[in-house]
Amino acid sequence: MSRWYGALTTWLRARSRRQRYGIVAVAVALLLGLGGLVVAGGSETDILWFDGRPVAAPADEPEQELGGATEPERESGQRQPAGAVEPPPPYVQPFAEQPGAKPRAPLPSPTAGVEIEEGTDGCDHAYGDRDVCVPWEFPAGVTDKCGWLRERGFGPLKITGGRDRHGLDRNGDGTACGDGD
Amino acid sequence: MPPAKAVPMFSPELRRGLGRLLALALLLTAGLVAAAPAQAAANLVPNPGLETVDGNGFPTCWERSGHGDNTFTMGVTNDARSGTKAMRVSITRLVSGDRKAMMLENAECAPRVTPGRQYDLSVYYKSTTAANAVTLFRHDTALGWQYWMDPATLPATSTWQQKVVRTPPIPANTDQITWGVSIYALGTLTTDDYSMVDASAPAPTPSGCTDAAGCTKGKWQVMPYQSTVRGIHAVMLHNGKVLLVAGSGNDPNAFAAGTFKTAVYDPATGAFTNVATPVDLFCAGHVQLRDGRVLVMGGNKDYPTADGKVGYKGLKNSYIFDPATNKYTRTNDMLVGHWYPSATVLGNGDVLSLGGLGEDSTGSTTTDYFKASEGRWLRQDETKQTWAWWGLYPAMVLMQDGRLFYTGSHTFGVGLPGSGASIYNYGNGTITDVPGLQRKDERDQSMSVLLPPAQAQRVWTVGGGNGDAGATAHRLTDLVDLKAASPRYQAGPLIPQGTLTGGAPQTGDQGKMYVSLVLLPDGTVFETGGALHNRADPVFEASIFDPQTNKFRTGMATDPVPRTYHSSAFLLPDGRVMAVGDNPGNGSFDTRISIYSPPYLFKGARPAIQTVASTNWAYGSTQRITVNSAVTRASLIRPAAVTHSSDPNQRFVELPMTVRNTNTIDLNVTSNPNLAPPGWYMLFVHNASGVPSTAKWVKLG
Repeated sequence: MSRWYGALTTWLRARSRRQRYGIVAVAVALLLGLGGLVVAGGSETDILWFDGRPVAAPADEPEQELGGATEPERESGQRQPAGAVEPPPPYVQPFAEQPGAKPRAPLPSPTAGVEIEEGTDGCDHAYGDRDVCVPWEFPAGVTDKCGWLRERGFGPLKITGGRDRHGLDRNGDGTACGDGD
Repeated sequence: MPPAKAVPMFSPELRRGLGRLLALALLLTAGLVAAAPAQAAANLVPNPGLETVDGNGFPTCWERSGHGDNTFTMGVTNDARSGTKAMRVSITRLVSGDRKAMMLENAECAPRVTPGRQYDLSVYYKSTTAANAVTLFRHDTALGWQYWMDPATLPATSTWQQKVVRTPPIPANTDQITWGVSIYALGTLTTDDYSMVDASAPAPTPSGCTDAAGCTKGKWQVMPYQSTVRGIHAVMLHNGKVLLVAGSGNDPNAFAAGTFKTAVYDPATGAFTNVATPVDLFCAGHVQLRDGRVLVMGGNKDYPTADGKVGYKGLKNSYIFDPATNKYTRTNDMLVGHWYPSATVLGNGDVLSLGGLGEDSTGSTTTDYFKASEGRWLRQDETKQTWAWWGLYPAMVLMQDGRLFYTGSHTFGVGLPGSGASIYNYGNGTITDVPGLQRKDERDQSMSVLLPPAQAQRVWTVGGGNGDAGATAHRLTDLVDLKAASPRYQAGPLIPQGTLTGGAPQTGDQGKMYVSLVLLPDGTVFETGGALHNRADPVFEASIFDPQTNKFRTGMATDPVPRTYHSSAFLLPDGRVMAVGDNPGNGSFDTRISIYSPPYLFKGARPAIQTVASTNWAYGSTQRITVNSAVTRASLIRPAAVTHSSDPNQRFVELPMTVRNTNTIDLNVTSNPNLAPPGWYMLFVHNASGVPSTAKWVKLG
């Protein structure tokens, strides 16, 4: 190794200054080229090739479009940077246009709100406090209503609404599902 | 002077040395050339440079595409980036629609793909307008060609620019995709040198479960403390805390005493901060505004009378809750009272509120509109009215074109007009039915969600009952694709069955109402809680629904706490799910808090979002983040504002990625505010194993 290195050094010393500069310039150019290739190899996730052609494609020559305007710009070869840009208009797709569907007929301005029947929350509030919810309709198949309620943590319920739709106060003492019911 | 010793031009040593150097350089070059193909996968786009044209002079494997009322030209130009040809599309008159050159949808030209893999799409372009978008279609082996999404917006540029965007993982049943660049404003778009390469990283080495049960079912933790308020309304705040609103909490005695409660709960510390509550906000509606404050509307003016002559009455009060001060500030009143109103934030940040009961306990048919920029509810003469009766807590989901989809999910009531679901156009006041919803009158306290991603425009409605009739809750689910020209609900998979109190398994058609649906950061939906009957018979069952396959993963761990009436579940920024509330018919209320860790939290290390370049995001922008490990998907999830199985603003917005390298990613934000209404969002990423990061908060719009 040392012999050929020494020979190379001796050979370089024998060259004129001008020749040495030339040799160094060529070596630097080669190294830069090699370095560029290594860098351009990039990380595994970069896309740096295109269809077998280099990314740094030839400069874009301004040419007249077919009936279009001249665009003298030259390519940048760069990707769009992240960050703020001129805001684009919203891109909306023509979905759900319901061709042939007929909208409901317009309604007149009402004179009052819609009447809501009692029990819309599924509860008969005539039993117990108003946070208690004895079902407006018991589930199908329930025959022992008080038993069903007791299984679900209901205690005796004072009849507060002046009625007993479900017949839970059999003994008529004013308490539903109490003793004797 | 003796003559200088002659130095030979090339001595043997020098020749040997130069030879070695040359050999080394050749070896290096050969190695690099040989290594290059391993990095550069094949370009899957046929005729990518548009150089090959057919008899009409149009590039082979490409077609003219687009829609709407516009005037355009589309053809080959010699203003090419490479080669001699490029594609130029000009729109010279535009009323509506777009134009684009697309890859032909046929077996030869459309690039073939593999489900689960991801592909980097690259195109060089220049455009005189900012209204350009990559548009993606996929071929579903069962359904044919389908619009998929617009994964990236391309800014205006007068010089050639490259845009690269990675597809989300290819959905199941997809064998080909096509794509192109759309222009949807006046201007000229030129494109060239398309490419598409398989960008999928090798399958991750299974990291192994850190907990066998957790890895398959997830795990619940019941917190060792209880909520200080009845968590009937829950709003995830952008400071990571949870607003729990009770008002009187369905307690007439508290109402009579004027005791109305709100607390801010910090999941990180378990601390509760009481908030002065001006009126009974029980039964109000709520939604986050653009700045993260919470608009609360309506509430409980009075409980029903015991004799049944007068029902619940709705307030027309409205307040804004500010997380910075933990205070409510009153706005002007709504036009009418609303007990159980909807609250949907629009693409412009305004809020529409519909339905509920008025101050006289009749049904409110008045549309109320909150103009966010002015911080007020509009006057009667400023609003557009249809006088339609929408019922209570009608689930109104914002569609990508700004219309509202009434999903058919609601609370209480029966016999609403129409097919049970409809599309409501506030702008022109039309309501058009959407058919197909099964048992439309048994959707009391069902739940609907816009499935991930929001770009897919699919809504899923799950379960329900009928309190008026005492019906047993069913197992039905329904799916609707709002991308279809004429959307129609189709039957979805049946809700998996669980057990009832005491461990008895559900049988027959038994399903559940009061169900909660929570969008998870891996793009699935957690389904939990519920009951078989009106305020009775909790069902212990949980599952995860995959919108890619329309199938349930059954047998998830179940919340040990019953979650029936007045219960909610919602996503926390750390990827867990929090559940609150239970108010059975005997009038009791369960104030325990449960937190669920989904299986993805037991599958190895989580990726982390290390930096977010900006937390103020504009529509159509790209936003740079850095992560600590490879990720496959990013999303924005709108924080919950949920009550009574109703959170129509919940959405998961896909953020297609431009992957600079493993750690640096640019996220492509939709240009359409209707897909992601302005406000604070939870930004998540997840890796190839579906393991999500914790969220970073970003403000969109």
